[in-house]
Amino acid sequence: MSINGRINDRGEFTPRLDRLLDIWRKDATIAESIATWKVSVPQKAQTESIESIDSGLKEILAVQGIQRLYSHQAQAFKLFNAGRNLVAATGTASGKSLCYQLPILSMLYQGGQGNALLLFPTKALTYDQRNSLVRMIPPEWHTATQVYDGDTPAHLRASIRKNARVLLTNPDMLHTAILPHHTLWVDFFRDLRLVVIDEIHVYRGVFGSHIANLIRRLQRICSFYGAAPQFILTSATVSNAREHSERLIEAPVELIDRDGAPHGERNFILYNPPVVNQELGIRRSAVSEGVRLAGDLISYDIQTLVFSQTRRQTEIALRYLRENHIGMAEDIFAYRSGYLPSERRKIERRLKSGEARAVTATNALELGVDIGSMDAVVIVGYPGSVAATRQQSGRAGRKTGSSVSVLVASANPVDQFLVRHPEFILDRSPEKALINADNPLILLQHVRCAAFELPFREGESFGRLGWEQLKGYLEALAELGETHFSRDRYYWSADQYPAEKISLRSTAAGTVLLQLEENGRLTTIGEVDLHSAHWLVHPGAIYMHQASTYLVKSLDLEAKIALLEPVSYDYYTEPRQEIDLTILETYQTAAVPSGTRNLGEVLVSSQLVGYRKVRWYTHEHLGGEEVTLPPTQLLTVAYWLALSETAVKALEAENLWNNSPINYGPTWRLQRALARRRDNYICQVCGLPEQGVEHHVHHKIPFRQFTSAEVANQLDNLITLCPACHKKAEGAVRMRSGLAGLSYVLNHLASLLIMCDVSDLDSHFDPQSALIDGAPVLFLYDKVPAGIGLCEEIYQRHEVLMKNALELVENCACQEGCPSCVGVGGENGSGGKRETLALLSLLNGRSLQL
Amino acid sequence: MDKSLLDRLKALGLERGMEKVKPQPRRAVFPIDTVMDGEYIDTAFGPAFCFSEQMAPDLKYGRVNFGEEVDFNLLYAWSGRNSGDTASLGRIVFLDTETSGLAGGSGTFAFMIGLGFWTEEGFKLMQLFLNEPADEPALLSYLGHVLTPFDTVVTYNGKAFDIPLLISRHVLNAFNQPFSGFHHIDLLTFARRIWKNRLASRSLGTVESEILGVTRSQEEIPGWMVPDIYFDFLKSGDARPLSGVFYHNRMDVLSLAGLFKFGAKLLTDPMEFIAQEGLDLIAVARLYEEQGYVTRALQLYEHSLGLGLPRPFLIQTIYRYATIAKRQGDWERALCLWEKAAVEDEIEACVEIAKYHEHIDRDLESALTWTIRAFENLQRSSLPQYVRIEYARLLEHRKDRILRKKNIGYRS
Repeated sequence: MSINGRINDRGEFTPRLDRLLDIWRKDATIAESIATWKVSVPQKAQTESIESIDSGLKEILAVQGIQRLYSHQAQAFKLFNAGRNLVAATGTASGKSLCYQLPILSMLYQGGQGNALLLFPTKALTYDQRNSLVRMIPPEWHTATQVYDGDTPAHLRASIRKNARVLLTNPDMLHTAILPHHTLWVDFFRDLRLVVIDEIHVYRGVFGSHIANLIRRLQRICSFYGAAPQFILTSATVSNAREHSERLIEAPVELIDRDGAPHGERNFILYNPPVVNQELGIRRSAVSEGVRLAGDLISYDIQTLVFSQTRRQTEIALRYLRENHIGMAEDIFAYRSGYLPSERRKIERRLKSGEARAVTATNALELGVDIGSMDAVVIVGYPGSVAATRQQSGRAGRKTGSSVSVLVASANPVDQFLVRHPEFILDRSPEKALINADNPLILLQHVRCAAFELPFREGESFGRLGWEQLKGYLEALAELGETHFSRDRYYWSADQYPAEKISLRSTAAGTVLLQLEENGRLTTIGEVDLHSAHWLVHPGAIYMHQASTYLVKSLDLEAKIALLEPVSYDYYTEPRQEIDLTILETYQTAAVPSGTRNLGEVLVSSQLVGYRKVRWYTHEHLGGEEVTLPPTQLLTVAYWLALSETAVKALEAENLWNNSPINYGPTWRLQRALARRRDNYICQVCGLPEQGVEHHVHHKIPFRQFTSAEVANQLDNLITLCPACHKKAEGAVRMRSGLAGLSYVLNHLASLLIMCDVSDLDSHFDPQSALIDGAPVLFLYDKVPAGIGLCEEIYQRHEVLMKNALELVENCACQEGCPSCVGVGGENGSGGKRETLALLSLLNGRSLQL
Repeated sequence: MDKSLLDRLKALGLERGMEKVKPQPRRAVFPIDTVMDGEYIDTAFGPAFCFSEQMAPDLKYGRVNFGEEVDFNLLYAWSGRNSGDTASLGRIVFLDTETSGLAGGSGTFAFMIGLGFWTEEGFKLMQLFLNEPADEPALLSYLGHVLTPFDTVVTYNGKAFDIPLLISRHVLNAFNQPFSGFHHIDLLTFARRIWKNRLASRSLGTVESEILGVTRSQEEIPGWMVPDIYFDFLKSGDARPLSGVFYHNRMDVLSLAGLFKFGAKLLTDPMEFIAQEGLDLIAVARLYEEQGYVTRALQLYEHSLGLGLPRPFLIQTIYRYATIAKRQGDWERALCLWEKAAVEDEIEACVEIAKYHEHIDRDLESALTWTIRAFENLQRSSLPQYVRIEYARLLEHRKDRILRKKNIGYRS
């Protein structure tokens, strides 16, 4: 066996990966579960000659082995020379960097006119890029090409500020160190001609909204010094690269998206784990199937990246992989946020060097970090967006030779939808990156920073924000005593350095430190943001870090510290929360079949009330605990769907909820009698006493939700009701299960349709909402305070959403509802598939025919 | 909804604790010129407010007499001024600012610039005051005018704070900055050099009371309160609380000038001022050494050893002193000093003596004795394990070599 493959009987060389792929094709236990296998044919390079380029520059390129430019690189250079802003949105490893390196080199060559500022999303990427630039730049410009970030030693900073011509940094550094001290950078800004923003697809949602404001600040400082730099941006594939760029820099941008780089054969496999319980539609877990496939790859000595969607899954996958490959356990790692940067750098290095044979990661690794390209990637569960799927699977891919990426579908409705509609991932354009630079909280923070940097003059604008709006913010700051209006300007007037307290990644500042007490000393092993802390590290939670489990002893939200203790329990925990929602203002409302669609502002108050303990491997519930944390409040934008009275009546009239008879178990007769006696034979809702006929006894939590009849029939779950009241109560339960199913489908599907991460949205429903005169209502809301434009999109695309939701549920093979359509019965109601289907039919303007 | 933007921002989750400031209509009931007896000076950019005070020619400021002539050439030399320049007191300006914040950055501005200089009538104080942030061009323009006759600026922490801040203000107002070509003496660096070991802090306040012997009156305002007093003035228009800030700044400038004179005298004739302060003396001696005044350094070392020093400084001083003696070939003094240190269980001193006997004196027997003595001191020391191992290895090596030499000596 050679290093990379083996010679077969016919004397042909077969790489290891191709041999394994062959086995997968033939092995029935795998082949049967493969829903789609797409092989993209290798592509040859499309190039242009570099005749038109300055001869000195040509020599430098020749030294790099570049005789011709890929078509997209050539196009970028032409556009730059024409004075345009541009965004290069081509594939992973397509040589995007040269799109801005060439203009920089050419600037340095033309008598050294013009400076360049380069922004990278991560430190690691910044250093990579400096190395790559310095390799191209003649030695006399090396000292002028510098990284300036948090790690730059203090004694070098002054000299960098004075001499830098090409400055590589990150948004946080621009935000906290450079802009607030712009007077130290006079020479740099005065001659700033090019701003490069790499990987702009990262700058979406809250982060992107911050970045857009940061660029407003940068532009303001540039124009103060009389500079008007051009912008070159790069992006992984998003469907609106141009629109996104233009929103970020608020200026016209040319799009370059025809990729001229070559690549080898790429295999994309969509794998749907086999069904293990037909009736409940339960499939084998995506994590365990992903681990199994990754195991095959590891056994063939193919370096493999396993992406999963949550930090918890990453840890679970690591644990399983290490257990299955004991001999290699030390070369298998996990990589996710919450690890300290030094730990992450170590793993990155080991990936690059090949020492790490397998790494399980969250999307923390998806962003820009240069780890070289892999032969194989396994993605456990749809990452929530087409863009992320492409970014993650793009980690596998060589210029020549084959590579494979496998997406293992989870039971989520979107995953199952994708299994039936692989074209969504394969052919459809990826998501839009949405930002809202005018989100009031984010905007306010940057108006503060900008006022600190330069007083605001009356009549000034801030990006596309005109004076009238800007003035409102300046006045609000004046009311808080932070600005002072003097003659014609607003001056910063507080003993504060605002940028210091403003995180570009959140609307609210603050992270909770995770600390371990060992031998009387506290060590910090990681951190989580304040909001997530409520769900991840509440007291009693099991927190996982590098395959170790910790019990959270206490959570101090004031001091922002969670105290952990290493434990080896056989369970993990799942938080339970209660949500209360209030409508504050309705922006828009419109009639739709069977109800109304609405857009408005809501206040969501959520509170952790307890958690469940779940046993490893078997996922058996071991009982719950109550924990109360203070509620968190979220003022945001929501889309809601309110059902009309006619629709409700139609559902009731059709008596859709005719459930099959249930065997209530041996204790039922006795418990029923006891409940009636306890309730004095009186209906507990209307007060009607029994008159000859026995009242009904109702399960408060539906019987089907229990696995043990004995537990379901416990007295505190029973209540005596007259037949009329019982019908209403059951109706509410049915309505609840229909709405639960619908909210389950919509929450997942909306993210696919309006192109955002599943985690950006949340849902809430109420069968008898006091907010809408007792009508059933379902909310989808943006998890960012004041929103970033998601619900506006949903509101616009209501009809498409309903249509797709109906199709998804109709086409699902399960009988009673499953994780892939309306959720499993038992969580929020019984069954739910029929109820959801009925609801969806009405919402699509169809009649009820089932 | 008819809520104000601020209410809405709060509902969205604007940090708690951010409370509305009580709207106080700004009434110029107590404008600055009713509180401070200063004047408005016309500049091309509008009027700038300035309060001036001429001090008596022979002002006594704590232990310093402002009228006394001092030789500050040594202080100049220490501060890096070219030796060719002749120092002239008339070209020095003392500067201290009061600012809108302590964090720095382009949003921090100086609302008061205190300046002091010696004229023929004695020390003169000028305090330039910013009545409105928008008046900054006038303030800076007048500052440029006042600075014209000077070529040296003396500050306390001005290298890190006041001067960069003022330069930044000039950049922001598109003015040329007035300090290019200025020589800058930052007395904080000087204070750190001399009083690092003796004073608990090197803040101007501490140096002022401990060294100059000055106490501030009830009018004093602590520095951290200064920005808020100014912001309150901006909102209310009531300048009365600012008198405390003027006092604070005045004292800072006077102390700066006083410290400059005191420091110059200290360097010129330390024995007159701090003959009993061993720690100060060895610091001055260090400074002499650096400036090449070795003989004066040796005198101070000798004197301070006589005063008795706390152990770490004693050892430090012995070694420095001995190193100079060794360099000068004064072995007798060097040996005597090392022996003193050897008594204090010092290992290195024993090694130095052993070296002397081995290489200079060629008394191998003594060299061996002192090497063994070094071993003994090593046993008693509380050095970390890895250092001890390394020391032991070196000493072992030395011992072997001496023994080898001895054997060769016997054979021949």
